[in-house]
Amino acid sequence: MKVSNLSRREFIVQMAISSATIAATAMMPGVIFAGWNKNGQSLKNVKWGKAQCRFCGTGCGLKVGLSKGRAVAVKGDPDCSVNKGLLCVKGYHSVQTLYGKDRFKKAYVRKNGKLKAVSINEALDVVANKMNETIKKHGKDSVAMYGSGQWTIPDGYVASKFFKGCIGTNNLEANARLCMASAVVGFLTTFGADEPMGCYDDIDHADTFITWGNNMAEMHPVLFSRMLDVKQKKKNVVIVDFATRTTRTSYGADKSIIFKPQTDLAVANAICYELIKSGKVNKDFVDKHVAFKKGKTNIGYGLEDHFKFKKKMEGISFDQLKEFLEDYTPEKVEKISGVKAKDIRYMASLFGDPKRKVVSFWCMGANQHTRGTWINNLIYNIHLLVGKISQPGNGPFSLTGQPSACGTVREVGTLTHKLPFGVVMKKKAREKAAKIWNIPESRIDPKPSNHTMAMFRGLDRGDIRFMWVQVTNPMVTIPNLNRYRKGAMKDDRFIVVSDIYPTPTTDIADVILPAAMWIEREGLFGNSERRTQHWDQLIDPPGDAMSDTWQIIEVARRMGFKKEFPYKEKTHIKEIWNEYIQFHDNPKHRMAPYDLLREKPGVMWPYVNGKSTQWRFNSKYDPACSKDKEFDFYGKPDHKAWLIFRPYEPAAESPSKEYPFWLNTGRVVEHWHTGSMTRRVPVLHQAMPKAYVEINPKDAKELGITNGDKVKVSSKRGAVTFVASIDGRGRPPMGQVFIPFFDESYLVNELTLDAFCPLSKQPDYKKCAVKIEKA
Amino acid sequence: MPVMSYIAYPVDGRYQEMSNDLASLENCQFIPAENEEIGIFVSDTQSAQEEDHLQERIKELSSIKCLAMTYAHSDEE
Ligand code: SF4
Repeated sequence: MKVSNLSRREFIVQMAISSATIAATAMMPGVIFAGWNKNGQSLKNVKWGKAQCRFCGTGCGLKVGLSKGRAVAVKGDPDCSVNKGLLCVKGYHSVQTLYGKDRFKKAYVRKNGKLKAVSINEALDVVANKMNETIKKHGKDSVAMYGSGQWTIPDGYVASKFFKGCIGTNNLEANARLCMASAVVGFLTTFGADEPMGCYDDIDHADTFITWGNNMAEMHPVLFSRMLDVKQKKKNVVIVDFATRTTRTSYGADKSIIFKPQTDLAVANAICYELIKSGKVNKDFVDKHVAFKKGKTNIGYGLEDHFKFKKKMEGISFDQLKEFLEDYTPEKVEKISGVKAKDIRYMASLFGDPKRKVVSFWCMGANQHTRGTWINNLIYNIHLLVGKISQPGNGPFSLTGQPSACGTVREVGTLTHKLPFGVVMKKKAREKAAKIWNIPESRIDPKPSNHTMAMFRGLDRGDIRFMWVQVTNPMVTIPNLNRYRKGAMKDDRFIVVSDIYPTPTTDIADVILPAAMWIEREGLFGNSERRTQHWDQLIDPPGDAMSDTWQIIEVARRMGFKKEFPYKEKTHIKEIWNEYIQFHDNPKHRMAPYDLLREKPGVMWPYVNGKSTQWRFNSKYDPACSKDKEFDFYGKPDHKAWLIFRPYEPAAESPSKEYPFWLNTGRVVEHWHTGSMTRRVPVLHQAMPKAYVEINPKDAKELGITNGDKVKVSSKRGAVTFVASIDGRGRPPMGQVFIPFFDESYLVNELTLDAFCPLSKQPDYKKCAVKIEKA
Repeated sequence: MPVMSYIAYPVDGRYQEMSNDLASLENCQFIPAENEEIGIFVSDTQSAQEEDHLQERIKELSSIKCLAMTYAHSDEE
């Protein structure tokens, strides 16, 4: 990375500090250095611009130091209530991800099998012509777009308008399907309204934290630090890490409880059983605000092509729930889950203690689960039984992995069945979209087409011939990758990829569009706590790089949709925002105006009467609630939250004689997702240079494996060789291994299974069967 | 013109004293952790001679248990 001489020394000092920060975080998870801000202020000749970190769903506010047209420093924004000036290692190094040597500065088009640099206009012409040609030849549902929870809100909005409102296909999905879909369906089934009711300030009000399969110390380090901070300041704070392996979060917790994969379903039910049995149910809350339901059981795993699932829900009584829960006594569940009955009772006692304020946190462990919707529902069930919800310090909190999984994918609705307001199946929602988009309603297809896994299966089969991928790297992240890579590379498939660096996905592209990254364009994200955050363009993108929003607009116009995309280049983000917020102009979801968002480090929706809403469904805070009751779960027609009985059902694939180990995959603190950006930052790369397989020391001993040995890991779908890590960062129990997915040289998704939750269609990256052998 | 960074650990019970000692050194910064008794110490000296002098002064500070180096840069290299 080159910097001007004037600021070079200051830059070196920043590097020195960031190295020390990384090292300290590695040694002491959760350690915070807020003094970084003061240090940043000492930089001379540097102007500071406002932005948000794009490397997880937390949404930390940043101040980006700018000098001579380059971003040269970062500090946490002390005015942002999310992080209060704190950052984790990825945040501190965020601007360095802009300056990797191999940034795409030109567009590329494959000619005679080779990618050739061309002008951006030529590449955009090729994309538009190919899309037109494919639609003509194979119909509108033969083209698809696969976007991202790292898309800005305007990116997702124009993608939805283009695909659903112009082309008329619902083949629009985003990688948030792989990380958040179970949370969405969990919210919708229990509350009828998506996204958390609480906010991060819950951390300051709570004294009890349960992390459900959620390694917060590495995945949401700033929130974890806030939790540890509360623990230092208050007496009686308890953190319970309920997980399938020991991680840095376990080390920071007061108690680590390990369960066997998939059995979180049984344990959650056992907690409910115990709460009822010990008389800890908040009867008043339950009588007023909770309805009891039961859904379908034995629902399958979505492994077959054209898998279909139809939901069914029926009302039950509280007594029927009690009867169902008889199968989940702590003693019975101990046998299934490996969790001691006394530990189940301990967790129930924390929830049941009227003096305790309890927050549950979860993320991928619960969501990437073939029963992801169910475990989301079950966590809500526990909170609902004791009435610990929608109040400061009391609430279930589903965290997001990506910076705008909420803002772009869930709120704009960049999923096959969604529109920016409502779902394609509902005439009223189609009418609203048609009115705002100024298109005939008949153009919007009333039938959802393909969710993500169905889309990649369609590409393999040939139902889909053209796919445009933006801000994501599916040739690293799609489960059962060997099948879908082969599918994407078949003759007569056309793949367009918009990205900033070469990846395994750009390797298979027919067209590569160079993208403007993050602060190289104006944008907005929406984080986990319903906070919308805006940033201005702070620096110029390199070469021909263009924002994803503008790429879509350019292609849409070339395909004849000029009227639908009338925006001016200079003001298009403001124009798009003003158009988009018409979809949410109601007290349940009103968004903040553009000018306010430009000023503030984020505003939470519903934004009503000049105020953010911190706790939804609570009439003291939420203007959409009916004022005559304390809580109003207005998402459901009966204004109640639905406590849905969900049983334990086994995983899609469990260890067998031939494949005796569970494989769990995930992330590490240094790297963002597939590492395509963070691995280009030398300090982060050195701190975590390559993927590894974590093995329990007893298993390793039995197999004659020592730390650093090469180990071949195989499943029914493939085999990959990794380096063994024994008692490194984490420790899986015997019979399990863990592999991170950030490293494109070791593709763990060649091993994973493409089973998914039939309700949410979200794949399970946490459970499949493998064997391990010394290589 | 060396730039170095370290994680600084205090002798038990002497965190504040170590923070003051390190913060008072010329051409250096000390960034204390908010929630642990450690800090980041960065030295930015103008010459090898000045660096040697600094190292001597650091050795005299009894409040420091250990300085673990995490980064080193020298223009002369
Ligand atoms: S916690 Fe997430 S948003 Fe905050 S600095 Fe780290 S990666 Fe960025």
